[in-house]
Amino acid sequence: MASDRTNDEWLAALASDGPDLAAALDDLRPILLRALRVTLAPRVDRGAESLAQDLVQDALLQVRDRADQFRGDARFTTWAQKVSVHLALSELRRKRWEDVPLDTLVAEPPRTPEPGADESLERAEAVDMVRHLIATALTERQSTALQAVLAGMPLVEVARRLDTNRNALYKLLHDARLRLRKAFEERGITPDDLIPS
Amino acid sequence: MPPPPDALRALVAKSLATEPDEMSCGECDALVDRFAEMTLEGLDATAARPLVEEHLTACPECREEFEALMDALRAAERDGMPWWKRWWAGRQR
Repeated sequence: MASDRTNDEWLAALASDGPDLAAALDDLRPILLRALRVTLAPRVDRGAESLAQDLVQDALLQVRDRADQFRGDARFTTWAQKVSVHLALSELRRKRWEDVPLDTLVAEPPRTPEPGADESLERAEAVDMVRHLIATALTERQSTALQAVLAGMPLVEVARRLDTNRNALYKLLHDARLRLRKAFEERGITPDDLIPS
Repeated sequence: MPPPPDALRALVAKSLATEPDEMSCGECDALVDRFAEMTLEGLDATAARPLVEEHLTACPECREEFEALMDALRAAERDGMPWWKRWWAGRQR
């Protein structure tokens, strides 16, 4: 029974071949399929069931191929469901944005004069200043990635366009926010400057 | 397409709150399965793993994945219940 397997037994069965592997995959399939259905059903208008059926084989393969990344502090089936949820959401995010070219999300920087240190910024100026800093205080790659994310493009899709992975992209964006933090602090820009008056 | 003012405002707030040693998506992902289990078990996952909670607050995509995982685990829990408990759990939602 699937529920009777320990984490070590799951790992051993998935690392084997023959009947033990087949039995483990048979036990795992309905668990992953349920996770895919639960993830897709509220997010897809039509065809959630067929998409779940399409993805379950990929999910099984990913779980088997990445089993060595399982840390062992959670139940193996929880980890496997996490892999399935990630697969399903990545697929939805990719489909939603696949036809949007990245360069349509990147704006030209506005020409903004530097305000004096004690000069209060009007909202429109503050908006322009922040846009200006996104374009000039960051590297081109940081700026492109950040603008795509601000437009709503998911990290996984931005990462795919920039030929990197989500983890490296998060680091890139984190470094960008640290640069912006310094730039905002130097100019005294706060979120309140961007509230409509 | 320039970023909308609301997104810029959120960016300013998030940038000013950015610390050098934040958890990455990958680091969060490695811990979030146990974090989800602890949450379902009624344990104080946030106290045990505050950086995970911090990352889930800052990263909408990791938050969505965490919530979907929670939904999947709850569904698994319901499937493992006797029929009358499933019926009762359904009435409580």
